[in-house]
Amino acid sequence: MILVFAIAIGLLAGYLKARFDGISYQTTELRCLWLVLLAALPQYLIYSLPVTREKVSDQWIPFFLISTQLILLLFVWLNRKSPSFWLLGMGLLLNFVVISLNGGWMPISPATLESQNIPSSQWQLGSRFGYSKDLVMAKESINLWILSDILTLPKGIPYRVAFSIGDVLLSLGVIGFLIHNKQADRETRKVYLQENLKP
Amino acid sequence: MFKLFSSTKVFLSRVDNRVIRLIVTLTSLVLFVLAAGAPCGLGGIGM
Repeated sequence: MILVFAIAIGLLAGYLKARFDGISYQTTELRCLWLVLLAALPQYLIYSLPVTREKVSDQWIPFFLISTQLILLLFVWLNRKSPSFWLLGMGLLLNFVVISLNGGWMPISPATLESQNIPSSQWQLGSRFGYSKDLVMAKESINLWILSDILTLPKGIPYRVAFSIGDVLLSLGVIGFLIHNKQADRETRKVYLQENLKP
Repeated sequence: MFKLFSSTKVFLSRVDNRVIRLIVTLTSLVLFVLAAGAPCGLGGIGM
């Protein structure tokens, strides 16, 4: 949900910037959008849809997570020239690296869960946390702990979530992409051509 | 009848170019971040 919030921020900022510049708002076109659907659909069935997520064995989840993230890396590579996609890709790559190095799961330490007042009755060391992508692991056994879900929201916010540095870069990349207005590029090019093609 | 059809067609073609493309891009971005990110939702406080 926190990542969807980043999209809302980016959209609002991009729209307001376009209004301020007096031009219409238009995002850059992305290539091969079907790859996103190809990656998102299995994840929806595994993590979100109650009927299917209960039936998928935990043994299969690492395979699905890693393969769908590879598809997303391909999508980012094909769109690498789009604005802020390098940042977005960096976030995805960091998440992919830490997930791959920890057996196909995003690690979360008991310390992070305790800091958010999650009772120990709700989690178990070495087990998946709910239906999430996270596996509760002791800090010492986490490979690249710094890239795991170690960040949390400030205490005043009434919502508890743990996220990674990769998630932060993903959010910043999405915001950057949505702030960039394709129409502004066209206007700049038009002014440039008008100034340089004057007789 | 023909006028109504043609005006609807004009309206739809205008919507196609901007709004539909924006909706498709936004939907794809939502799916992308949900699939690429790995935040662990721990629930609302007091829920």
